[in-house]
Amino acid sequence: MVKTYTPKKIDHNKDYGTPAPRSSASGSSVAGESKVQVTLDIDGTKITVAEGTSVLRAAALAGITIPKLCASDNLEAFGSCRLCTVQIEGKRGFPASCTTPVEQGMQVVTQTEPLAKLRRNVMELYISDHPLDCLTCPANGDCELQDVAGAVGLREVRYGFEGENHLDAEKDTSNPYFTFDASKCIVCSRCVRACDEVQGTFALTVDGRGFGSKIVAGQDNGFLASDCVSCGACVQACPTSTLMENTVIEMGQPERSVITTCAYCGVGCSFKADMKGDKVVRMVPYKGGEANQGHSCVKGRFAFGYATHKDRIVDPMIRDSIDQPWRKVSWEDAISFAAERLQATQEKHGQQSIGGITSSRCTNEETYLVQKMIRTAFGNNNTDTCARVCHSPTGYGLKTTMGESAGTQTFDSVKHADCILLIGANPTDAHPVFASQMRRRLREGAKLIVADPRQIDLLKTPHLKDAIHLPLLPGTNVALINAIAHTIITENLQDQTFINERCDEKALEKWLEFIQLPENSADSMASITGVSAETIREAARLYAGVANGAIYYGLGVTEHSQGSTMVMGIANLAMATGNIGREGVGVNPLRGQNNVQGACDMGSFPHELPGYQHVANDELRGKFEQTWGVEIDNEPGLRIPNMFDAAVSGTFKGLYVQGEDIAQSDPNTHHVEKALSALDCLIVQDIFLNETAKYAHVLLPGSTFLEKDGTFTNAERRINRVRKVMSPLGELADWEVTMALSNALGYPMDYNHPSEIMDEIASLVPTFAGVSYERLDELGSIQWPCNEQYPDGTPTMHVEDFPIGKGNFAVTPYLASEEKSTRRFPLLLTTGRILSQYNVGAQTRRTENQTWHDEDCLEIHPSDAELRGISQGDWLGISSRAGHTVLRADIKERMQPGVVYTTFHHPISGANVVTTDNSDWATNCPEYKVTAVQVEKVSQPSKWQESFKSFDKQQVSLLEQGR
Amino acid sequence: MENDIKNKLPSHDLVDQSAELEHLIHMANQIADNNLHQGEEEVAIANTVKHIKNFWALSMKKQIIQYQHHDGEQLNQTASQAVIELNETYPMTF
Repeated sequence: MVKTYTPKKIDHNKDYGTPAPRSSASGSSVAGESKVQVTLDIDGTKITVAEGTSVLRAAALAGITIPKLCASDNLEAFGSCRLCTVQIEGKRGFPASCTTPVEQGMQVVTQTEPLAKLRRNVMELYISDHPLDCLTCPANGDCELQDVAGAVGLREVRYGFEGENHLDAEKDTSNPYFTFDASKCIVCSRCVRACDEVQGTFALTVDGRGFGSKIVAGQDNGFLASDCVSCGACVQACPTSTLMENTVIEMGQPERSVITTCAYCGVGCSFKADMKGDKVVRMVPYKGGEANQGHSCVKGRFAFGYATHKDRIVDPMIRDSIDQPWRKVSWEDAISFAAERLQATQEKHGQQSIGGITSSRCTNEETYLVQKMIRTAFGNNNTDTCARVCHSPTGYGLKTTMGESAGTQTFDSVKHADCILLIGANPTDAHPVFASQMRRRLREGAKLIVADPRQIDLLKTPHLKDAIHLPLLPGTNVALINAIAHTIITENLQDQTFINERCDEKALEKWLEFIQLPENSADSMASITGVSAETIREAARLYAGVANGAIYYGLGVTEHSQGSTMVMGIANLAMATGNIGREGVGVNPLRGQNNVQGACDMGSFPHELPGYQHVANDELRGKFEQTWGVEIDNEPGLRIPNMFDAAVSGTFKGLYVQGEDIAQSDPNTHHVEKALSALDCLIVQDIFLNETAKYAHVLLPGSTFLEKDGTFTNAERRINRVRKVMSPLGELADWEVTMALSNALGYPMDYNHPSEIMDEIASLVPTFAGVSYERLDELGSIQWPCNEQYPDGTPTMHVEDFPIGKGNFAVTPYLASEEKSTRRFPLLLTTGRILSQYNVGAQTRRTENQTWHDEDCLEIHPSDAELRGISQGDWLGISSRAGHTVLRADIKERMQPGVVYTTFHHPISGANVVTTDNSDWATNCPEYKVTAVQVEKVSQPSKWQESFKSFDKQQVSLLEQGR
Repeated sequence: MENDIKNKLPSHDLVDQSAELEHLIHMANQIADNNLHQGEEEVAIANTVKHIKNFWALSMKKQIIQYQHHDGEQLNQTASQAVIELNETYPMTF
């Protein structure tokens, strides 16, 4: 009897040998499986698959295993190992099934005596130059070479092991996270192809020919010294133990896996936490994760050691004042101490005198609980989150123009983009997994426009075809976007049909009148932006001229005095060109932290309840009042910078901070320190003694993403499950701590599991109405809105209309920043991230990622350096009107003259001692990206750095006394 | 309503609020400036009032109203007018 098999569901733990086929239609529709179906016969089983599928994949889909070594379903077929050969009726010889596409009516046989002999012979040759140390090999139990040797029935190696071989090849242990053991290498080139095709770095190559072939990193200078970015794709691709995680070498093979979500950047990669008992052996990117599709970066893949670092705070601690040693106390005592202090503060200074900061690193459920506690138990709306200092202008700008405070696409959408317009973002460092996806699309021929003061690495993408760099001066974003829009309108490049059908006529008229003003022309804006008028026009024509133009942006857009204006300018541009409402287009904010989107969605802002529902709206507020059983203040509360101001004024006296390091991450450190020192009660809940905790009176142990259940929402509005793999080191998960504090303050909370919190969220937030843990388990992940109208979520927003009906063009006048270069401060400082470190560095500084970046430096153009007599590595004093700090010089051609740059991952750097209190006009998002500075050679650290060191020493000692 | 507002506010006695007030003035001016090009002055004023109503805490509103009443010199024309209108929604005795 002939069996018929139609594959339905993909098992993401299985390797299907070659990727699912993508239709080869020209133009923008490159991605997507062909709709043409083909039926063939493999070993007597009839199987129907999409046209373009390989025989190897078709067999795997039907549950038929064909041995293979050089093939993997995340790499294009290569056809070199000759193990996946099959016999096909009517075809000569033994074709490789990985490179043979299916044909209608094809008859394939995968197991015959000649095939078995051929495969054994191939394996015999491989094994003749491979160590026979399987029992002591780290890959024992997870080795494809071993499995295939077993499958083909290899029983002898007739060639012996004498003669020339590679068995003594040296190990490369330069990378802190993995070892390259060349003696185990079969030169299948999967690592090389993974580096090229998956990661897009092209750091590896096969050097030499024939027997002399070997894998080398860079110019054969070892992995660490090469261009390798430690994404781990090669390690994952390796079918032997040649490339192996050091943790597996040390601990052995894991025994179970839990699928969870990375807690670093806003890409939100899904990982399999490979466990041994309650120890994480390794983190492996999960192929079923929609955001990352089996890829990872050095942070998510390897930098998880901080979770068990000796510096972890595991006991609750209290003290009366910050010059006293910490006292270890029970959870009950710590919570009642905190509650009493907060209550006493409110009694003395009023109900509005305390507030809290929710964490964009914690889960949605935890963030929701913190803001709920503030609005109920504190009885005010003084809640804010770190999105204040990163993407608050995104919320404001996108809500004003398109009616929803979120990006419009999936990450996958980039596969359909013909032109990528990237503004103020550096994805290869800050969103590396998505950058790899972008690079793949660029290699396929998509055009690239980068608006950034620096020559960022994406512009150096190998095999990049056309790219335009708009090296604008910091602070001139709005001038640039207006000039681009002006060009599009005056040259009649707009999408009139989209504008007519989808946008508000009155707003459009106003905008058209404004944008066509001569002051907005490329010629007028050229001298302001520093970009030539012709280059601006070229970029405008390119973006407007392609079928699908997609805009991606980061904090280089938002962290400006006109951050919100720029976001609106971006939305205007997308609407004017009709680049909204389908795949391949859109407005895509790249979120900084893992759960920035979620923290905003969950009502962390002082003016909005969960789901962006304004506190002043009686109907919306009434819904929450009914469910929460209390009256909610109908006035907005204080935002983070307003809290600092009020603290310095003496009217704001108590603060609860969950998983956020405002002392390091917020601008104008002097002001922040003054504010924190003025508090009567500072409660910090964190995994480490961070900079903020040094000013605290209560220190509550936080839990890492490995220690709790919950959800994160990434930059594509994708809600992903976080699953507990080990118990909280401090006994309680963060949501349990907030619950205890709320109960002690007299507002009862009683949840048994975060899923109950999500159910409450779903009942109050219309865009989350269909979200539950059950649905998340069923679907894997859900992109909100998810409700009756969109039961499976919404991958692409604004397909038919906007939540506000018609799109709203906003008038976006350019107003120069008050931070201008002057004679006293002639340079403009801008700040950003580096690949190996994350934000304030509290996590990554406690991992081997320090290998790549153990200090922040000041990048400066050679001409600015020469003018000041600066050499590489010199100590430089950097002064602004806010403060002074000292960093080492890093002379870089990628800077433009007049602009300097630094990262802010190390507290001692004091990057934010220099940044000012200027902020976005609409949201108070700090203007981190523009600070006028002077730079000069110095011989000693700054005064602030000296006082930081002694304060740090004192506080660490006070902690040690309490431990 | 006046009493309501007073009760909700933290005490402002004997503290140095100069830095805070300076920021509030700067913020109000910035909001007004960024709304000026939206059309006529009245629209800019209305937008500024709306913005402050929607995004500022009551304590901030009260401080800027007080400042406008007692001095107001550093507020630009649009911001100043907006604060006067704001005062209509948040009446206060001085």
